[in-house]
Amino acid sequence: MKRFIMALFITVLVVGIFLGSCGEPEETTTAPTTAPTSAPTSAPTSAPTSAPTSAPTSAPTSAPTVTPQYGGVLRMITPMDPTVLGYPAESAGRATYYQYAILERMIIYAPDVWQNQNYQGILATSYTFENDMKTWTFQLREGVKFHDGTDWNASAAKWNFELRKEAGNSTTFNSMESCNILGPHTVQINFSSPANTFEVELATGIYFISPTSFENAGTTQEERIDWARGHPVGTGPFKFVEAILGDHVTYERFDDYWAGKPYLEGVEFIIVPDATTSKNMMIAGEADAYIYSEFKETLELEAMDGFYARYCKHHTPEGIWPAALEPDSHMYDKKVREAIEYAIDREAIIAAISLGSPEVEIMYQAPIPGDPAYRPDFGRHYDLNKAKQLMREAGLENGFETTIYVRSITGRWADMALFVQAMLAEIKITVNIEMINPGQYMTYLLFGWPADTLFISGIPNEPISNFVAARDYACSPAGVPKWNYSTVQTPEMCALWNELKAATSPEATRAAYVALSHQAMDDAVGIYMMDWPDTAVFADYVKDCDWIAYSTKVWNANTTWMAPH
Amino acid sequence: MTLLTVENLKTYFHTDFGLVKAVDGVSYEINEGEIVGIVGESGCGKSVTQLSTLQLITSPPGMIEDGKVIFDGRNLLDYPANGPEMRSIRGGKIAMIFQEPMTSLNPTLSVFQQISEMLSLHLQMDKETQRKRAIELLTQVGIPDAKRRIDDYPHQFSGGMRQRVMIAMALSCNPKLLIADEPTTAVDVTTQAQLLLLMQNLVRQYHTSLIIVTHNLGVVARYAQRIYVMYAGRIVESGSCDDIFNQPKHPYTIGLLKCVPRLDEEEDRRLVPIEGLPPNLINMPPTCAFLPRCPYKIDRCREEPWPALKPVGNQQVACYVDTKLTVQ
Amino acid sequence: MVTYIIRRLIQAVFILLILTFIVFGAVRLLPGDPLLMFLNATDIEALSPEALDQARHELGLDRNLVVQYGIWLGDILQGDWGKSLHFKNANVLQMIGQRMPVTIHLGVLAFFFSSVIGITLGVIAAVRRGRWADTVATLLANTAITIPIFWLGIIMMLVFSVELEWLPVAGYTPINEDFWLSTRKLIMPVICLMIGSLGAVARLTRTSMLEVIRQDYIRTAWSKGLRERAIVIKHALKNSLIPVITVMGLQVRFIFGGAVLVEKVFAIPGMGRLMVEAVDGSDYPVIQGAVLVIGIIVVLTNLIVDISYGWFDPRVRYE
Repeated sequence: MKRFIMALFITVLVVGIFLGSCGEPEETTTAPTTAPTSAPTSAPTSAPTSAPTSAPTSAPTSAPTVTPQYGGVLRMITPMDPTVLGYPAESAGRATYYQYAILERMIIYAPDVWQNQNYQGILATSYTFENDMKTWTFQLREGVKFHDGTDWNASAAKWNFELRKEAGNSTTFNSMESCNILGPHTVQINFSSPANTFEVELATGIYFISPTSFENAGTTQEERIDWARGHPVGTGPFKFVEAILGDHVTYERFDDYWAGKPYLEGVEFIIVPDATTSKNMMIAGEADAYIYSEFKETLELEAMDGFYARYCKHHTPEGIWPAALEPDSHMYDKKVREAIEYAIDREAIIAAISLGSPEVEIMYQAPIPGDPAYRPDFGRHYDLNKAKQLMREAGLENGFETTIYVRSITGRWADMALFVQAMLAEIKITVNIEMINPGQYMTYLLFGWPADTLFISGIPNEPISNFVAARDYACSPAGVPKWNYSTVQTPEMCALWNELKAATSPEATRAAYVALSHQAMDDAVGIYMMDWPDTAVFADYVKDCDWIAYSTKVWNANTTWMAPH
Repeated sequence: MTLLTVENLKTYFHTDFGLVKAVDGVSYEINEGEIVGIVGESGCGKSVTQLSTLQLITSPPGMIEDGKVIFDGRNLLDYPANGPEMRSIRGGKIAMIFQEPMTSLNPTLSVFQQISEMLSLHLQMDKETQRKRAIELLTQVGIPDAKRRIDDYPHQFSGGMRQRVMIAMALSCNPKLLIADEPTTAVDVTTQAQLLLLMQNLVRQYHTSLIIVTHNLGVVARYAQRIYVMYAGRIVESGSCDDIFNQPKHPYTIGLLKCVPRLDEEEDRRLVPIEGLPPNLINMPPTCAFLPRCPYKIDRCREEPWPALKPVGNQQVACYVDTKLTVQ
Repeated sequence: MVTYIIRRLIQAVFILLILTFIVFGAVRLLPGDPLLMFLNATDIEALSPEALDQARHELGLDRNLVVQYGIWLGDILQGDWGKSLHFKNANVLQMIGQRMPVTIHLGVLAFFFSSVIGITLGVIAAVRRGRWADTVATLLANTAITIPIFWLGIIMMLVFSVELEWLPVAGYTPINEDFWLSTRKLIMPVICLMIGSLGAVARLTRTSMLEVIRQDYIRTAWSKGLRERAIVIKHALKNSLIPVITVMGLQVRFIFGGAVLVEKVFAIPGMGRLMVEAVDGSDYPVIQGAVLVIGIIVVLTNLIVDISYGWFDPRVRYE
């Protein structure tokens, strides 16, 4: 009897709660509001003498009716902790976005970067390169101050470059021969080899900090670096206040920001590891934005009143990659790789895991539409007969056994693995699924995968596709760490990769890239499956926030403002 | 002067196996300053009778169904079991000593804590007086070095000493009546005698009445003035100590006496145990409960219900048989 | 007693040595090289095998395990707990110093309320055995044991924060910063964290109490004329808590375990999350430091539990 009463009680509770919570998402009305402001109207020109003229931060143009208002602290939920904030040489890959509002780069991606590979100037107003891309000269922005009140100038730039070289962990800076001050705001840097990916690096990873604060921070270089790791002093629109790991990171307005006083009084990142909690905080009004949001929660919030979501495409293609390095392995045979690709029904998988959202797009090749290497008619579409035929041709009509590695960071990939398992069973390939932790993943990724295995992952992608191709299709001798997304190294690809690395002009780079990309796709280096968007959700009153408006690598925090709410 | 009169007390236990009439119409009385013995085998309801007078029966399953307990002119059964009136009587006016000295004291409280809570409750003494009084009591009951041992815990005392502590505790508030429920069963014979003597002296000194509940006739023989003999929830015989010992009337009493060694008897008398086992109290037949074990039974015993107590000589006896005629 | 404590403390040192050594070895057996986990796309090619070996050498990771352990132990004793491999500027001792008070705040509240409420429910159920109060209390205790923490957290969040807007959804505020806000933020996490212990303590208290109130000395207490409350509290409770104390000692471990989940759901920056994230990232110094601290706490609570037996039960002797 007691048990029955308890069961009844719980049932009532559960039913009640379901009824209670189902109410809101149903009332789906119009979701997104005013289009988020397009970012700066810079006039990005093509490379050689690219001279981004206007400030990227000039008032947004596409929100004509409302006047921006000052005040308020923007509270942004994010699942990740910051790592190193103020020592750019160690800014780790995944949480660099914490730096966007406090440290600045010389150039950043322009809004049309995916189409035209354009940049816009921030700390540099223009730059040129010559001498086979070995010599780069930068004209620096004037009137820029660091948060400690010191000036941004040629000697500050030179000091920063030298700090990077000293750190010794960048191929580009390792080949830096000299850095010369040509004028108070002109600096020139010389490399020993062509630096044809220097622009991408400048736009994504090279931040500038105040030499004065750094030098005053300690007596030894070790002490100074240690201090800087936790004390970013840059030129950005906001000043660093504090970072409490696992809890929050706060910034306050930098009134002397070169492009004018930012609207927001401050920015607070609230670190919330759980997606449901994040969603509830948004609904309860405890945060104004949710960045790096989970896909499901993003869709749910977008369906509610008072929020708009943003989907930033092309940065994270997802797919399956075969380990094909060992010449005696099955997957070394291109036919086997092709068979696997033909056996996989991308549409079915996407339909199942995209939760009905049109924001997830199918992919059949690495280049995105609009990329110079994109071929509209290219692709190995689902064709089981062809797959079987290829397996027969490879002498493997009886199949073989393999393992697919799945990272445990998102449940989505485990679902994908189950589909792949079922689909490959059709061509008699027995797939064992193995979950791996981030440490295992990185070890395999950098030092190579066990022979004849597969893995599921997203690949970080950049608008400057030659940079990505150089990374992904790298031809390096065994034992040297590389990013082993693709492990296919055909002689043709290697030749083209070497050509790309040696390219000394944008045109040559482009040509080499297109050739390498085509070759890689033809050689079936991996199964690109879908363009999984990076996501964020904002409360309606957050205006002109260009966070992931076109790239995850850009946020001009000074333009963001909040309407009364 | 009668101190306590129990009339027609009935305490039943409603168990899963059936109704147990543990006390089934018991009446007895005790005068001021008197020592009375209640004797019977284990399980005959003598302890339950005593617990019932103080309403200490665990309910459920126990229920006092009927009867009166007149104490100081008031019927205690009119009061709610754990109400203030009942509580002021327990420990204050009527105190109890229990059978098991090893388990009847709380193992986690010191002797002083256990005595003093009564002193503060019934006599509103302050801490200092409590301490003095407790030491005095312990000395009186013969605990050596009481001053030092007062803060000890029960496990630090021997069984006999613990029973002395129980006695000290029971007497601490000068009760009018002390009920000792098998006070000496669990201790060795020497200690038994010492304890009984001690109790006798103390009740005389304080002019307290004493009910000794025991299965051992020998124990009451020396100390009690009157004796009630219980069997299967009823009193089967009562009378003065001398009468009962010299002229037992009820077959059960006779049987009991046969298994008690006596110093004043002819040698070589054999101790004869009572045949059979005490009855199971669940769902008893209406006839005399001793019937199956009775060597004197007559036909009437089988046909008629258990007889009520009736005067026979100086005693009250519940039996159809005139045992005087049949005793060898 | 003092000798007993000293002996137990010496034992504790050995337990901690063994514990930390096992963990020290085990984390190094975990797959994944911590040096590789947080790299930037641009610096990979600069990480030649020689450079990695150099980095490993600087961190002492290329040495014999026992030697590494010895060095770590020596540093710990001198107050140098090392630095996080992941958060490069974060001193492990400081990280733990930041996180530990949070978990202790949460844990102490959960421990306190689970004990107080659990014991109260258990006592009520036992004293009113078979009546409605017993039914309700037993029902609550059984529900408390079986309810999944994660589910409860989300449900409470939906009801109390999203719908009713009575409590903040998540987060942590130190108690000295804003007592009221801090308390409001902790209500739901504390309920989640304590609910299982509460049920266990309530059930055990009930069983143990039922056992105790049948004892002879409780009858003695009644015969003294004491009030029911005095009997329950003074005579029965202390005795019936003896087995409960053991379980409460174990709850300290469960609270650390539960903190992993609760801290994630409610975005509380405590030890649980620190541990999980450190294990995920193979952040050796953080794992080792955290294990040491949690080990010390568990060992100490065991000691406190054992000593408190003596208070609850004078028959217990320490030799």
